[in-house]
Amino acid sequence: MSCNLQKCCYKILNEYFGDIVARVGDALFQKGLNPLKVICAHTKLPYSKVSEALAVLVQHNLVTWEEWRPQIPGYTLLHDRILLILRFPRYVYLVREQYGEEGEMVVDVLLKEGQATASSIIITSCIKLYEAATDESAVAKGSLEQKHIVVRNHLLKLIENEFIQRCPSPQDSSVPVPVLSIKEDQLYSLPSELLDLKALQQEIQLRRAGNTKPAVTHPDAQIYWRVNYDRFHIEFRDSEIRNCVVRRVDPLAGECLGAMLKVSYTRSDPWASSMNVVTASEIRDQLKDLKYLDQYLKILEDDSGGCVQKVGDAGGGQYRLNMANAYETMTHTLIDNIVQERFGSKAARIFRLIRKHRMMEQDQIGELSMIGKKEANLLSYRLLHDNFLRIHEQRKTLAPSPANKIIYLFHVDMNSVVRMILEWCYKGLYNLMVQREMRANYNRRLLEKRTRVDTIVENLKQSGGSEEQIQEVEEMVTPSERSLVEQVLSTQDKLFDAETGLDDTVFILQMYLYYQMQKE
Amino acid sequence: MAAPDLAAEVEQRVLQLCGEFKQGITYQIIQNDMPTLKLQHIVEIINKLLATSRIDMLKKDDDVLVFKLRDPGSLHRVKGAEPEEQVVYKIIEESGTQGIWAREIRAKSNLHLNTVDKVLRKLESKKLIKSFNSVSAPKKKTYLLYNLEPDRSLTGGAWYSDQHFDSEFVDILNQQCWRFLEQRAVRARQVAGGPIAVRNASYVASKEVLKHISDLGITKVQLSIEDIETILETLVFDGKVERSVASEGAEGVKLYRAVTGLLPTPTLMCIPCGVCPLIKECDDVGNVTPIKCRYMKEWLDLEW
Repeated sequence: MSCNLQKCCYKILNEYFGDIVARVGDALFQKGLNPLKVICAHTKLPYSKVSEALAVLVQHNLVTWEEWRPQIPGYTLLHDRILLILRFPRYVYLVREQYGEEGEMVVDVLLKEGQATASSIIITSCIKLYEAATDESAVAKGSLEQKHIVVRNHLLKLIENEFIQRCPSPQDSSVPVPVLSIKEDQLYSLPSELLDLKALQQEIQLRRAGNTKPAVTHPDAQIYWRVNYDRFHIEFRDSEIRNCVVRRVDPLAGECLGAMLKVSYTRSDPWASSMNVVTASEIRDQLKDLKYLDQYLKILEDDSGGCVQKVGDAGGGQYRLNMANAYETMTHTLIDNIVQERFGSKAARIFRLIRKHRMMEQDQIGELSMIGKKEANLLSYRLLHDNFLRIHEQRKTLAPSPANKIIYLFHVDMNSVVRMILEWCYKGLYNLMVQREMRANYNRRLLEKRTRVDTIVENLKQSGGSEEQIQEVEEMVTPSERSLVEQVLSTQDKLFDAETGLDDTVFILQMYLYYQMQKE
Repeated sequence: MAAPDLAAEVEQRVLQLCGEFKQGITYQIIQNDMPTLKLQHIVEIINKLLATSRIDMLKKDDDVLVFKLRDPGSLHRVKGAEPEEQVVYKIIEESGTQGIWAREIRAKSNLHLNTVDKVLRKLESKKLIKSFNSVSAPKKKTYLLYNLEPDRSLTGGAWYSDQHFDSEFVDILNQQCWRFLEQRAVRARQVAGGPIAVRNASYVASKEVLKHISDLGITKVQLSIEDIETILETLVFDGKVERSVASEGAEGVKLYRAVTGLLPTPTLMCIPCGVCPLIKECDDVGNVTPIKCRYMKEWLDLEW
């Protein structure tokens, strides 16, 4: 909760849902839990607009409500979820990797809708897939007819693997402030009788013919689904750790760790900071072809940053995965890297030195880091100035006297450094978004012109216009404009890539804080 | 003029004679011993020995000059040394290679500071003692006997030249050590026989690193194993190297190997905001805003 986070959230909401939703979100962010009327007063927006905006936010799982006063609901913004909007491309990419095009479409549709019924997900994804397919026109007709079944199968698989979960529903809709709840066993099951495949096929065909009105009510009209972010985050978390091991050791070690994770998940809560024990023989079952499994296990024990711990010798060696340790090491490396980039490698040496020794006196720093005394002092005070280090004053007596020298000890408070970097990331994100928006606005007319020309050319091609006509229209965009458009688009991509990258850093830091909080 | 080797021989002989006659020798004795020598040569050699303060020239009651071997430890026996000088010399002698500060000499000798200063200057001009500035307190003058080398803790060891920390030297050694370890690690990757073999092949003992550094010939100073280990420790703190200990016989041997960092450079540092010196001032209003940001502009327009 900070000013930077607030600005960041505002920008995201503004970009994805427009100004009114962003203002409502901003008011909720600043004021916390509030009822509708108070939000209206804060935002100076009419009642109807605010309630619409809240509906949008609720639809996208960004706002929850509870009974504020008897019969009056109060709304709370889930600001962490807003930041997740930046992560949408990663979610979609992950599903594409694991489930292919159809799975990707399902998650894409669901992310855009926030919450949706199974049938509407299937219908929308099918239509989009048809559109994509006709563009390429390479897919056989027969397979397209059965597309809805393929999509349904993918949806079922995603639900089964907990990537998509059922939304809780009101138990008693007559009360003014309904309480949403769901039974544990319903969360990840889609009963087959809820999907009428024939009706789905009919509707898809109707829609494709241009009829937008829903023809029939589907049996699952009351049952909504949403994306289960946590499940995605488990995947991200694991792949971060795996990537580290691959960088450190080699790809096979990464595979080995992957197998350990897989076995661990069968018997422990994936969000526990330390998982239940797995044995080497179980891992061997997973990796039959790996030649040097025992050696790899030994290496992982030393080189995975405390992620793999050996706890016993039974069953060929018992191992325990400790996610909290892994993320602690990772965060340390991350912050070391940041210090190194910002203050130079000597400062990074001092920072690491102090972190390892916990408390250090100034003279010791110079001696152990092998940096000239003056430079070492300069660097450590610069780190202190930028809040990477802290000073602890150790007095022998309370009364100040020249005889009792006060000892000043440098130390690192990791949690506060992490929070500071997190703020920094938010600020960076905000700046990037501002820059992207500004550049898009600045070049709006140019980009619009380009789109217009492209559509005209497209239309001409379809209606069978001659080569000359197309040439003529295309020449409406001058070569200099063309190169400018390319430049603008590439800077937009660059900014967007940077945003995604920053989100990656944010993810590691958030994981670290999550595990630290569990420790306490 | 005598040939140089002859001069050396005569010098040797004179010193030998001084050793035989503890009361000192006169011209006469030298002349008797080496009758072929001319007086002029003798004078030359005597002057040389006096200049290098190997012998002392004294005057007997009957105005005959006597030469004696100089024994620095027996100053008090030297004629002309005042009692103050003897006391101060003794105090300095006791402090050994650690040296002693003028103020401490005063405290120990109960002499006035001015007197101590005068005596010290006198002793220094006689090349009996020398002054030295320690690296830990560059402004403090410490005194020790002329023929002694100051302790390592005062000179700072190999890393100091002229009482200044030689950070360039350390940096070069740091880089060279890392390069050596990294070469080893790259070569180790080709080793067959499983990941443990690869890892073991990438470990290098500090002794080996020392040998490599000496072979490179970047330093004229003889480095010890401890010196090289301190350098390797800095690499450990740089996060580039890992340390392990293996036992070789009774004692442990420190092994080092190059490692790659767990994470690549974070994106935060690849964007201008990460390295921006004004990030704290950056806001929506004022002169430092993301819209006006020059760094951002330079970064985005880089390729065009």
